[in-house]
Amino acid sequence: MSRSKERLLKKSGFISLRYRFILITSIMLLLLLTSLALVLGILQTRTIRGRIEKQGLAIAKNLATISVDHLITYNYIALEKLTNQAVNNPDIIYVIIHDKEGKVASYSRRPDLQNRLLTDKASLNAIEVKEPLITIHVPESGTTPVLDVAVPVYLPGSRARWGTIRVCLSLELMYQQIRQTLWSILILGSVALAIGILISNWVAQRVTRPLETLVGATIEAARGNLKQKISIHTRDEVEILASNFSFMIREILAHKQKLENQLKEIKRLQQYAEKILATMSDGLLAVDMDGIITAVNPAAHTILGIPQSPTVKGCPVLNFFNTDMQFSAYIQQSLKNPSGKNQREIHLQRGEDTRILLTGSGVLESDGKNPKQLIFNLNDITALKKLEAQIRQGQRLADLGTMAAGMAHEIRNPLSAIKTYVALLPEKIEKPGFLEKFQRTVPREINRLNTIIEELLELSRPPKYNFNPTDIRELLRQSIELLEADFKVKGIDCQWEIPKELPRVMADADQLEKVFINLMKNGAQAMPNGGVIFIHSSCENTRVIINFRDTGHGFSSETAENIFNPFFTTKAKGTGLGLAITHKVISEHGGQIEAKSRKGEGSCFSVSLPKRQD
Amino acid sequence: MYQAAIIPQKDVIRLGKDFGKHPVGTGPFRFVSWDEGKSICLKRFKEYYAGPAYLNEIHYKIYPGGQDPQVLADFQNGNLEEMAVYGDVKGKLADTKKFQWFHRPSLSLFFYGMNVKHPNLANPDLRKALSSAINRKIFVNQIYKGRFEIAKTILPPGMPGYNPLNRMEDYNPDLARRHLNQSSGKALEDVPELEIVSALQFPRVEKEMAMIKEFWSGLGIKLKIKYITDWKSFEAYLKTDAVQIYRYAWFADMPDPDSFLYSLFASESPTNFMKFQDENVDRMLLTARGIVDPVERAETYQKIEAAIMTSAPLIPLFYMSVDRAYQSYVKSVNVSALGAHTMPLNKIWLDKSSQTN
Repeated sequence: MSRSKERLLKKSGFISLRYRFILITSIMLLLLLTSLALVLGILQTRTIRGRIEKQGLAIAKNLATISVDHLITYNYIALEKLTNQAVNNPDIIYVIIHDKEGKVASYSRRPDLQNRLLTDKASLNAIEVKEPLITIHVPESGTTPVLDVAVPVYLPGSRARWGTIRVCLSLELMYQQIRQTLWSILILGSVALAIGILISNWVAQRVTRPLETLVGATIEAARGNLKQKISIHTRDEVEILASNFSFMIREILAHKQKLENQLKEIKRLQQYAEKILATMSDGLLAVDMDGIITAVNPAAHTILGIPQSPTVKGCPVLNFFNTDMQFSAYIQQSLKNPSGKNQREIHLQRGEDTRILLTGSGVLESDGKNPKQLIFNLNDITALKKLEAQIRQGQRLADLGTMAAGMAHEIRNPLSAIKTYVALLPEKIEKPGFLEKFQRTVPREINRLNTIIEELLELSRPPKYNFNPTDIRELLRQSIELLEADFKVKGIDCQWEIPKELPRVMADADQLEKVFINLMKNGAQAMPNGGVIFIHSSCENTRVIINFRDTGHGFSSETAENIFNPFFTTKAKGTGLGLAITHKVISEHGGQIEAKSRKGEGSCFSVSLPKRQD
Repeated sequence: MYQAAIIPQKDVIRLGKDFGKHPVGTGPFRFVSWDEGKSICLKRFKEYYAGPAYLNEIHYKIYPGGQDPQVLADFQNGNLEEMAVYGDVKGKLADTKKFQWFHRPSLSLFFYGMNVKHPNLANPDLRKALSSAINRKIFVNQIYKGRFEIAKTILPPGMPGYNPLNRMEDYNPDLARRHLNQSSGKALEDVPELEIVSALQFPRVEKEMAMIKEFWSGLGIKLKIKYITDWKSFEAYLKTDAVQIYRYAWFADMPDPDSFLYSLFASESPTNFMKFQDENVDRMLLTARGIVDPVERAETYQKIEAAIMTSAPLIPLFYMSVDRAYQSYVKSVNVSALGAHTMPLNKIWLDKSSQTN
């Protein structure tokens, strides 16, 4: 028998169908036998008791008849003889004859009671009777009830009462017969019960065997054996049940197979994910909302300097960091505000070494709205930062070279012109028109040098701004007005779309106006044959965006990369410092400037400025 | 010789007075020897009509003058199988359950007989006064420990002819005084001193006498007590005219009123110590002897008793009972209403194995 069946059988109240059937049959048989015993007992009691009563009454009446004379004459001796003879009958326990006064005229085998007045209840009742009276009572000396018949003695044809005859009969015979009957019923009943149990067992087995087979099958199925075959052919509900069960377990088997496959896939994916976590260079650290570590991958151990120990899980994460460290503060802030965007660059002090981490956090697990776990991803960008610094250094040297070359070029051109005119001065001074030419060219070239130097100074000048809340719309409108006449001459149409509710920006209005004018002029210069300048402004989150788009010849992406570098220019005229200054001003306003263009499709300069914080 | 009746006429005539010393009867045992004042020995009579008795021999031990303590001691020591129960013997025995106790009312009467011919007692009213002055309840309770039932009739209950309506007046001092006044015109001091005679003289009897003396002294009657402890002398005295009142008991020889009324009251009866003489009673007694129908016969005796009662020749005191103790091993004891002396002995046997110690 399987363990599951044993377990089932141990369940309180479990009674197998077979035993239930046997039990019901037995109870019915017992009930039948008990009823039979009761009915037979009652009938027998009634019959035997009736017989004994009749017998007692007959004896008492007979005694009454033959005692009359002796009672009249108070012949106790004769009465004693009668009573003693009467009790020779084994059924009679005693015979008492009371005289007219109620005294004992004779008491069988108890001469000592002669002439006494008996005071027990049965006697007191008996001496009062007017008609034959039959009572059953338990005598003081015994436990078996006896039948007491009391018959009054009258003179023939008279109502003068001369005494009472009492005959006490044993009911032992009755009880004995009833006992015999009950024993017979008991023995027969036991045999019937035994046979009944055997038959009901046989019948029950026939009925329950297929069910037991089915139960066995279910238990096997419960144990996991789903590949069994059930063959029950009872041509009744059990067979249908068995066939349904077979179908069910086949279905379960299929499901189980599917689930096993899925489980395998899940395990594979889990291992894959674990491998990724283990091998990824980014650190992952999961903590619950109390700051207790729930998961940490090897990279995080290395990055954070947390010991590689299984006991780490379950420890408060802050135990591993000084509370004043930037990382501790970051974790605390993330726990306070788990849904916020918390991507940040953090400097982590590990001994003498300082690591730079790019960290981010997110909710790993939540219970509805309430986050339960946070995950921190830690990217060690220390090496990247070093590399960036190296690149920036190289870029700076390259920029310096470009600028030096540009500046040399810009300076050499006017210097060459000035040098040529100065060298020609002695021999051509006399030539007509030369001097006018000289006076026109040399100061122009000197001015050009001066402009270059001023612009260079401006570029290198430390920022000195007068920041005020500035209405960008108004500033743009003023700038456009200034250039309107120029645009008309060149056949340029200026269109602008600036919302009225554009927020104010903290800016130096003069500097910013220069920037706007410079950008619009640049656009106009890119359209020598006329075109459209489109100015569009909007507010995005914390910033105000202003786009300057033109329909000019545009520039290449290579140009776009260098367009804000000093001395980089595509124009024949100009110093190549205008956009560099523009970039500087925007940067010093906390803003950004971007140039986008495609050759022949116009260009767009996009300025983004921080919104004024109220 | 009532104990051995019926007796052979031939031997009685031949032996005359000696027959009493060599009795021949009809019982299951025959007489062997009689050591006067000590013992009587009987042996089994093998040809007894109802089959031979179980016992081989019976020894009667005689305790002259009634020696209750000695009898008790012998019984307790196992020297006696049977003992008559007197007084509070039962109370004196430590372990009463060791023995068998038998009690049954007997056809007997204990009474004081009065010589109606004696000048002192000739008046029936005086005799009635004496009877009514006795408180029988106190008498039986104090002297006989309440063992007997007080008697108001001559015939005991159970005797054919017994009639509870024939009773004499019980204790009634007023009635006694009225009877006394009716008896004579004499002043109390002139009533002569009466005499009572007893065949027994031991403390219980003396106590009884003292009580009677006290009852009658209530009437102003003086009483002299006379003891004649020799039975022969006592009976001889009863036959004289000098006897006044005598202490006596009567047991019926058979359950027939004749054995009571004829024996005590017939003019011809040798035991009529009351010297009662009534022609009517004598005639009725003879007539009754011839009546066969028990009811008619009983009615006749009831009438006789009633007739005697009017004269009050005796003072009935109590009906006696048979009280016997037996050792536990004595089996088949059957006490007769006619008294212990009529007990059938042929069925008795001894079962020593059942003796309890």
